Parts: sequence; structure tokens; C-alpha cells
Amino acid sequence: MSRENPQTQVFMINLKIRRFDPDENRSWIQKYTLEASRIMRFVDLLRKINDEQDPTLAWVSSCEHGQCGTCSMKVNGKPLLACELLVENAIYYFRTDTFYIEPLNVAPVIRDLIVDFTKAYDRVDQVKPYIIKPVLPRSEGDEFPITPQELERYVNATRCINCFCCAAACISSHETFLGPNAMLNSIVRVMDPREQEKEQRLKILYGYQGVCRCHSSRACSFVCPKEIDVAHFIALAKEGRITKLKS
Amino acid sequence: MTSPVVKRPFERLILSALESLPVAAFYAKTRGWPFVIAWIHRLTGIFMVVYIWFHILTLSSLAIPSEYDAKMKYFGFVFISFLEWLLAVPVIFHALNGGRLILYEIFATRNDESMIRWVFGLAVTYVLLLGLLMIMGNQSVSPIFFWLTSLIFSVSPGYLVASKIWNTASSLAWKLQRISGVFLLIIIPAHLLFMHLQPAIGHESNVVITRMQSKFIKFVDLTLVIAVLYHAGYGLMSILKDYLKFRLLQNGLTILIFLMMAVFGWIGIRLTLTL
Amino acid sequence: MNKRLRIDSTLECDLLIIGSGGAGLRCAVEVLESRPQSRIIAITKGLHPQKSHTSTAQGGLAAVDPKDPADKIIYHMFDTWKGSDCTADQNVVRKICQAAWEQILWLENRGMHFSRDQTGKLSKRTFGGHTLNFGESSAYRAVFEADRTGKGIMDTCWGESLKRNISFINQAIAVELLFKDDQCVGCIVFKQKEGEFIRILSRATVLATGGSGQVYKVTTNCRQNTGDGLALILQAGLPVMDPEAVQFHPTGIVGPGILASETLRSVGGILRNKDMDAFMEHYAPKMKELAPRDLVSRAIASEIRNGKGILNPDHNVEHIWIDLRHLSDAVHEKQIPEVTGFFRKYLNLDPKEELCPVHPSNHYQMGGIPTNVFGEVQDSTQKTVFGLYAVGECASASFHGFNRLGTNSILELITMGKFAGDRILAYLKDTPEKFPEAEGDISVARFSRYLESRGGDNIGQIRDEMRTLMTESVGIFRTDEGISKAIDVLKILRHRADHTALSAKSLRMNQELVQHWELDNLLAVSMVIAQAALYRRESRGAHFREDFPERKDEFNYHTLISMEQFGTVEFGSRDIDMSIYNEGGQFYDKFDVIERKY
Ligand SMILES: Cc1cc2nc3c(=O)[nH]c(=O)nc-3n(C[C@H](O)[C@H](O)[C@H](O)COP(=O)(O)OP(=O)(O)OC[C@H]3O[C@@H](n4cnc5c(N)ncnc54)[C@H](O)[C@@H]3O)c2cc1C
Ligand code: HEM
Ligand code: HEM
Ligand code: SF4
Ligand code: F3S
Ligand code: FES
Repeated sequence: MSRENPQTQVFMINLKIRRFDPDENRSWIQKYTLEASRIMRFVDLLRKINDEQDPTLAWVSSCEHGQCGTCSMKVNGKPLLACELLVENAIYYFRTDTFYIEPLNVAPVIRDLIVDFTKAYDRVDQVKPYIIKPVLPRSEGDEFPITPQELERYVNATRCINCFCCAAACISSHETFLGPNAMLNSIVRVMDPREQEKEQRLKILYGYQGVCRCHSSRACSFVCPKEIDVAHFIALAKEGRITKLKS
Repeated sequence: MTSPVVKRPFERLILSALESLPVAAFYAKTRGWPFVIAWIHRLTGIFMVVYIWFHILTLSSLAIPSEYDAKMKYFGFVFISFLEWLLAVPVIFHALNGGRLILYEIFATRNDESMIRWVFGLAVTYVLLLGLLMIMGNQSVSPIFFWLTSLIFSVSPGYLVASKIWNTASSLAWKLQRISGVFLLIIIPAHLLFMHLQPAIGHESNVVITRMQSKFIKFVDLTLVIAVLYHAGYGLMSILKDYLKFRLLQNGLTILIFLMMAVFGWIGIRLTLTL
Repeated sequence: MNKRLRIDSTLECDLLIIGSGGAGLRCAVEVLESRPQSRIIAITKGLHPQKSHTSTAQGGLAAVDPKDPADKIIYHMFDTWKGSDCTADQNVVRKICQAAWEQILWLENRGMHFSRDQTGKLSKRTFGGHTLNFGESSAYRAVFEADRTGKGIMDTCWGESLKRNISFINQAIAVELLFKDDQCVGCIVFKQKEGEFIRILSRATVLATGGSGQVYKVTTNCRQNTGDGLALILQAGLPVMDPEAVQFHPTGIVGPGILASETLRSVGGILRNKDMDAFMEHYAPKMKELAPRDLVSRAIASEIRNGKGILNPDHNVEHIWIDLRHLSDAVHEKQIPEVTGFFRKYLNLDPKEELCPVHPSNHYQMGGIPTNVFGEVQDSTQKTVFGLYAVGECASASFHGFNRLGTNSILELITMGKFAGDRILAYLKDTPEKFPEAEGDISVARFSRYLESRGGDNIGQIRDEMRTLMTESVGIFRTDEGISKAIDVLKILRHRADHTALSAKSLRMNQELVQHWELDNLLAVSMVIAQAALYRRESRGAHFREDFPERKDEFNYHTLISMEQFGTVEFGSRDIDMSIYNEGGQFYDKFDVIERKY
């Protein structure tokens, strides 16, 4: 076996990062230049900056493999998960080696790239992302039967990780719209045959901050890192196919 | 998620041209083309709102025919006619794209990428056709026949949409926006077309007034003005809500929009009824 | 002492949950369902509870369906016992395995989106180490939600606690447990967002801080898993159990170490070396790819050591292949889309067409805070510490012994979470509602020290050196010499860490400050892992000593290790519970100290 180090491509990358210092309430753009190999992720780049250049740059991640939705940020304007973006792919996609990185505009910034997700989640909490009143299974010690076909209708909507990329991309506002992901969380429970409480749900889903605030700009589906066709589900709700008020 | 659709060479050419546009290309890259189209829809909508106010004010001078004719004499100029032709671009785009949105939202048409092609294809065809008609000038058609056909073609999809969404839990206001939209889908492009079958149809007070003396035409105009003003008012309000943070400001401006639309509605309706 | 640092305010509650992962929140919901008026505070280090590590668990959770004609609870108990290399506590194994199906239904009835079979019932699949008839054939025992089972549990537990009005404090870290007269009365919490310390006084406290994967260089664990729970316990002078039992997952994706789930092997993925040889048949002729993790991990590591690995140019890491090319499109698209997506995303390759590079990656900590079968924390004399509970990966009731079976961990979360909840309910009922004052000053002093220390070192670099050291010397293969050296180096690293100045002295969202604190925790956890690994001169489950490759009966006990001063450890032991064997019921002989062969 060859033990010498095979060649791999190395890039010089410029990162222009929007920073914010809450102590002085000051915002500025800082530029970092660093070497990066082909399949490094953007979280690796940020860590590299912390380790080698500037330990004060604040950013946040958790799972680092696209499962938790912590590391969302905007790179060259596109809301995405920094742990999923490889250097090589970024260069190919944006056709540049300079990347402008900023926090998602879905809630106030705490510091640098860290956004107050607790506030962003308030909008998800409003749609009650749980079963309000579950139907009881037919007999004690049984599961409620759901056929794969029935599940298939909404299973994709259950995959949302609340990364808020869609909310950041949406043409509608966070002040009057609960957001695409909140809609998705709500739609899941409307379509879930185990949910008995429909009235309360519909009131929120079709309320003044609900699906009527969506303009079908479909940016949500475009940016969703989980490739959920969010707009499809919102449209289903508008069409009334997921439920009818009166039959 | 954009379904992969095979692109023909000329489409690739167009796309690469589009990708070199400054702002649009940025948003296409970061939010997708449908997002850019949503913006165009919004801008054309706002443009038409302004146009419709202007239009109703112009029409209101039909009460004094000489004044109307004086205004209309500008429309003889080639450049103004050219602008009139250009007007069809935002109108037809908004109409067809609105149709596409309705298909997407209410008729589960998920092959959106090909719908977008249809929007552009049909829009180009319509605009060219309109230009051709404008150059040719003198077509004659029975207004009653024309408007009866247009009305039937507008009311039926309107009815279809209404029956589909009526029983959903969406707000009535939102439903009416979609219903009015689909009603306008045929009748607005038809209106524009009709007004250019002959220069006189839209521009000479006596021709217009004679036509509008018909009860049926009056009725058509009334539905038109009400549908447009409702649709435009809701549209404006919906846009405002995306930019105004404060509930109070939102409500204030909503009332203002409602009043504006009511005033123009009153002008338009009074005109139609008194002619 | 730094003047800015003080404890700003005090909150009171009935129950404090430290760590809002699956285990912590399952426990909270149990309490709230029976006692809705309970005031519960749940804190998480991450941006939000949903971002906890539980969300990433992929494969499934094991539970025997009582209606299953072939499978029996006793088989699940046996598999767990055998898998643990006969080091699990049998009373715990029995209790969890018996409660398993009920807990699955608990989740299902509260809206978890389990995958279904054609009749609408929960689908089941097989996993490494799951057998029928005591090892005879593969059992279909794991229920799952596609390849995001952990997310389903997390969402359900979070949703239910949200519904029942729990108070969450996000981006807050527990830095010090508070005690009064040998009873835990709450903890000091540092709120990162505000840069404030608060004191939370609670009648009962649950530690559910998850794992400690960040000790190792290549890990499947998330960034928050810095072993804080263990460090808190050590700081309080209490012992940690079996820290040397660290599981390495055989198939981490080369580079970031992301987990390529067991599922890949259970649906038929084949491990191959440089010569395309399907080498698992040499190591585990019967189970092959589906042998337990430690076996497969060592097999892969051996292949690589024997020159049968392939060098990845981008990460400069040697690996072997997992071959998925022969699997049908249906399998690719329906059963493993998320996992194969990782290869596409992180390595830019197509698993349908190309071989995928994998190598062992740190995955799970079997040991942890010693608890009894109810999740009550024990001290070094096995007396329970009043008011303190531990559940989830940070705890060790010893369900997993020295090696965990796939799918047994998230089962442990929801069962132990429930058991602890039941205990807490009884405790809340029996004890008076009063909050003894406790000061808590260690953490403020610690943070002041970080803010004031001088020196040019870098926290990130020290952490990286530590992680490399632990991977090389206290990883899959261990030797006396390697571990001893590692212990010395850890002391040096700790010294360096103490002499590292922070670049910014702000308190609000100062991640360097928190990372300094985390580094101290990691170093403490590394130290007890290394010391315990040195002490256990045998091989058992995931703990493999090259110089003592056999399991020895004289080590048939759990290690207890405490460390009040960094580097100075004290050992104790806890007997392995053999109640099933001792009771001598049907099949009792299967629960003897048996050989572990697959
Ligand atoms: C990639 C992967 C796949 C897995 N797949 C499976 C599987 O298929 N089946 C299976 O059974 N198991 C699986 N596991 C193991 C299982 O997921 C974990 O053991 C389990 O999720 C741990 O849950 P927990 O609730 O104990 O901790 P976590 O979910 O890790 O939660 C810990 C919580 O504590 C918080 N916390 C930590 N420190 C502090 C502090 N100091 N102060 C305040 N809060 C703190 C964290 O923010 C977090 O909220 C997998 C693990 C990994 C890494
Ligand atoms: C001709 C047929 C028309 C159709 C099919 C149509 C359809 C639609 C639809 C479906 C929408 C909703 C888009 C959204 O969700 O926001 C909409 C919005 C709007 N329409 Fe129309 N419309 C038509 C004509 C008009 C006219 C004549 C005007 C103005 C006078 C107008 C002004 C607006 C405005 C301002 C909006 C809001 C845009 C936004 O929210 O971004 N529309 N239209
Ligand atoms: C340049 C092109 C246009 C011309 C020449 C034109 C002309 C006219 C005329 C002559 C009328 C009087 C009614 C009739 O004869 O039936 C009218 C009415 C009307 N037009 Fe247009 N129009 C044009 C474009 C538009 C457009 C683009 C819209 C919509 C956005 C529009 C909306 C209306 C409405 C709502 C009425 C009814 C007004 C009322 O009843 O008071 N028109 N138009
Ligand atoms: S829908 Fe997609 S983009 Fe939006 S929050 Fe969920 S996972 Fe993220
Ligand atoms: S981006 Fe926004 S406008 Fe609707 S389709 Fe998606 S929610
Ligand atoms: S860190 Fe979890 S999605 Fe990126």
C-alpha cells in the first residue's frame, strides 16, 4: 500500500463574515483568508479560523452532519447548513472563492453568526408541534394502525429539522407569517390520523398568520437542506385537500 | 425542490442570459427562479394598481366627452401607442402567472417548471398578437358577442375555483382574492385585446359611450371594476403586511387602502351607471 | 476574584432537568403527566432542545412485541447480556427489556411517526446482535422511523413537554451541582446568551447531559458532547462507573466521522478491504457484517493495521470500503436514503455506483454516572444521593455493560427516563416543599480563573492534541505503555490549558470561555478513561488491551473511579448484578458468565 501522501487539491478561500458585538452594539464585516482542502465543510473552515486566526469569532453547530439544524447561516445570500457545504461544492455553485457569510435573519443576533433561536422557535411553538388530543388505539396495548400509503402522504413533512433556512428565504415576513417550517409542523398534525383536535389546529393554520401569508414563492422548497417540498404541503393546505371544514 | 427537466439548447441559451442579470440572477441562485417570479408578480401587481387608478380617473372624464377626447388624442402618437402595447407585458404576465399560482395552489399542478414555461410562452404569443392587431387596426366585432364570450370564459373558471375552495377553512377574504384573480384571468387580457381591435373602440368618447349604454356592457364593466379593485386592494394589503412590523400600522394602512379602493370604486361605478 | 462574576438570581422548581435530550425530557414528561402542576425547568447547552444529540440517532430501538410469534423478551435480555460481555446488570436488563414495548406504544400514542408495515402496524428490522433462540437466527426486533428514529423520539418528548408547559432555558450550561447535607438541591447555571450565572434550587435534579464523544478525534457525536455530566459528578467528589468502556462504531464516514448506520450492514452492505475481500467472514463466520460493533471495529482496525486499508487522499486517513452497489434501488431509496445521502454530501460520491470509504469512529460511552435501576445516583459506597438522578448516555445503570448493542441506547433513554420519572414522583410526594440554601462558589471561581489567566496557548489546539492523543493511545487498541504515556501528556495539557489567556473577556456568548470550561471537562473525562483503562488489565467488550487480550474473571465487576484533584484518582468497584442467573429460573444458565462468540 502506498503510504506517501497522495495529492489533493487545496484552495485559498476568502471568508467575509458579518460580525456583531453585543457589548458595544457594533456590527462589521471581517475578512479571513485561509487554506482549505477539497472536501472540508464550512464548519471546518470556521473552526480553523477559531483555532488558527481568531478565537473570538462566534458561531454554533451541533451534530455537524445536517441532522439538527443548528448551523444554519447565509453563504453568499443563500440560507444553508454550514456543516453540509463542502468547499469544492461551494466554489462550483457560487463560481467564486470569496464567500460572504452572515447570520440568518429570522431572529435577533446574539453575537456574530449566532441567532436567538429561542425567539425563532416561538413561532413554531404557536402551531402546537405535538398531538393535542390523540385518538386512543382500538385496544389497550395496541398501536394505532396507519398504512404506509397514508403515512406516505405526509411523511416528508415530518422530516423538518427546524433549521429555519426556509423562513430566512421566504418572501413573506416573520412578523406576520409564522413561517414555512411552522406551517409544516402544523400540517403534519392535521394530516396525522391520530390527531383528534382539528378545530384548534385549523384556526391556527388558516389564521391571519397562517398559510394565507404564503405567496407560493417556493423559496422554501428551493433552500430546504432536507429537500422537503415545503411549498407543496402549504399548497395542499390552501387547496383544502388535507382537510375540509365542512364535508 | 426543482424536478429535473431536460433543457433544450435554446432554453439553455435563455437561461444563461438570465443568469447574467444582476439582481435576478442573485436571487435565482439563492432562492430559486420561482422566488424571482414572485417578485415580478408583486411588482407588476403594484404597477397595475397605479395604472388602474390612473385609468379610472381618465375614464371618469367620459362624463364630459370633449375632455375625454382631448386626453385621448395623445394616444394617436406612435410612442404612446408603443407604451400602450408595452402595457400588455406586465398585464399579461401577472394574469398568466396568477393563473399558474392558482393552478399550483388549488389544482395541485406540481409540474411548476413547465407551467412557468407556458406562462412565458403564452405571454410572448399574446403580446406579439396584440402588437399585430394594433398595427392592422380595423377589426370589427360585436361587443355584445365579444363580452358575452369573455364573461362565460371568465365566470366558469371562477366558479370552478370557488367550488373547490369554498369549504376550506381559509379566510373569506383570501378566497375572494383567488376567485377574483381567476375571474380576471380571461377578462383582463380580453379587455386589452378588445380595446385594440380598432383604435376607436377605446379612444373615442362617442364610440365608448354608445357601447356603454348597453345594460349588458354596463354589467360587465361593473363586475370588472369591482373584481379588479377588490383584488388589487387585497393584494396591496397583503404586500404591506410583509413589510410592516406593527399591527396598528398594518390596520391603519389596511383601512386606508380600503378607503382608496372604495373611492375609486365609487368613481368607476357612478360613471358606468350614469353614462 | 473577578468582580463582574456573581450569581445574579435564584430560581426555584420541583424538578430540574440538566440536558434536554431524549432521556431528560422523557423523564420530565413522565412527571408532568401524573403531576401536571409540577414546576419543571429543563436546560440545554444547545440552541434548542430539538438540537440535542438524540435527534441524530438513526437506526432504531429494540423492543420485543408481545404479539410477535417468534421473538421473546428473554432473547432480548440474552442478547443484551451477551453483547455486554457479561458486564451488564441483570436486574436493569430485565427491567428495561420488559418495559420496552410499552414505551414504544407510549411514543406511538403521542405521535411518533414510526415506519409501518402493510397492515399499518409498526415495521421491524434486524440489527447487529439481535437473535432468536439465544443466538440461533436473526431477530426482527427494532422498530424505527425510517433512518431518523432518534429525531422521532426527540420531537415527541420535546413536543409533549412543550404541551405540558415545561420551562426551557436554552444555551445554558450547568456548571456546578449544589449539595446540602448530602442531598442534591440544584445547580449553578451559566446562561451563555446573557453571560449570567443563576442558581436553580430544585427538589429533584436529573442529569441527562449525554455522551462524551468529543474526547476522541474522530467521533460520531455532536459538538456538545463534552462529558459535562461526568465532569460535574467528579467535581462533586462522586464516582464515575466504567469510563473505560468506550464504543467505537465500525463505520464512520472518512473525514468528519459521521455515522454510517448499522442499517447499511443490516440491509446487506458488505465490508471490503483493499483487495476487495469481504473480510468479516474471517472474524465472525456466523454473524459476519452483523457481529457486534466492537468486533467489527477491531476487525476493520486490524485490516488497516495489516496493510489492507486504503489511504484517503483528502483526509489522509486509512479506511476500508463498504459496498452498497449491489443493493436494489428500492433499498437505496426507501431504507437508507439519509445515510447514503451522507456519502453523497460529504464525499461527493454515489453509493449506488461507487464504494464508500469508512473507518471506526468513536460512538458511545457505555459507562457513566453510576445509578441504580431507578436512575438514582449512587456514591462510591453505593448509597443513593438524595435528590439526584441520572439518565441517558451520561448515566450508567449498566444496561450496556462493556459493549452496547445497536438500538439499545435510545431504548434506555425512554425506559430509564420513565423509571426515574416515577421515582421522582414518589420523592416529590414524600418530601416537604422547601429549598435549602446552598451557595455554590466553585464555578464562579473557575470562570474567574479563565478570565484572568495569562499565556499564549490556544484552547482549540490543546483540545485537538488531547483528542489525537486519546484516539491513538486510549482508543480501539490499548497498551500499558501507551496509556501511561497518555496520562502524563494529559497532565501537561491540563497545565497548558491553565495558562491560556482568552482573546476576549466578554461574558455574553463568549464561546472561547465556554470552550475553556469544556476543555477542562474533557481533560477530566479523558483522565478517568485513561486511568480506568490502565487499571483494567484485561479485555472486555469495547475495552481491548493488546497486552491482555483475554477477558478475566477476576475483573468481573464495574470500575468506580473518582477524582477530586486532577490526576489523583481513587478506585472502587461495584458488583455485577446476576439476579437472573442467581434466581435460577428457566434459561438461567444462559445468563452465566459465558463466552462471547459470534
Ligand atoms: C450518529 C448516532 C447515531 C445513533 N444511533 C442510535 C441508534 O440507532 N439507536 C440507539 O439506540 N442509539 C443510537 N445512538 C446513541 C443515542 O443517540 C445516544 O446515546 C442518545 O441520544 C443520548 O441521549 P441523551 O438524552 O442521553 O443525551 P443527548 O441527546 O445527547 O442530550 C444531552 C443534552 O444535554 C445537554 N447538555 C450537555 N451538557 C450540558 C450542560 N453542561 N449543561 C446543560 N445542558 C447540557 C445537551 O445540550 C443536550 O440537550 C446514536 C448516536 C449517534 C452519535
Ligand atoms: C388578470 C388576472 C389576474 C390574475 C389571474 C391575478 C392573480 C393573482 C394572484 C393569484 C395573486 C396572489 C399572489 C400571492 O399569493 O400573493 C395576485 C396578487 C396580486 N394581484 Fe393579481 N391577478 C390578476 C390581475 C390583477 C390586477 C388587474 C391587479 C391590479 C390592478 C392585480 C394586483 C395584484 C396585487 C397587487 C397582488 C399582490 C401581489 C403580492 O402579494 O405579491 N392583479 N394576483
Ligand atoms: C391601454 C389599454 C386600455 C384601454 C384603451 C382601456 C380602455 C377602457 C375603456 C374605454 C373602458 C370603458 C368601458 C368599456 O368601454 O367597456 C375601460 C374600462 C375599464 N378598464 Fe380599461 N383599458 C385599457 C387597459 C386596461 C387595463 C390594463 C386594465 C386592468 C388592469 C383595465 C381595467 C379596466 C376596468 C376595471 C374598467 C371598468 C371601469 C369602470 O367600469 O368604471 N383596462 N377601459
Ligand atoms: S422545512 Fe426544511 S428548511 Fe425549513 S426548517 Fe424544516 S428542514 Fe429547515
Ligand atoms: S418561501 Fe414563503 S412564500 Fe410560501 S412557498 Fe415558501 S412559504
Ligand atoms: S450542525 Fe446540525 S445541522 Fe449543521
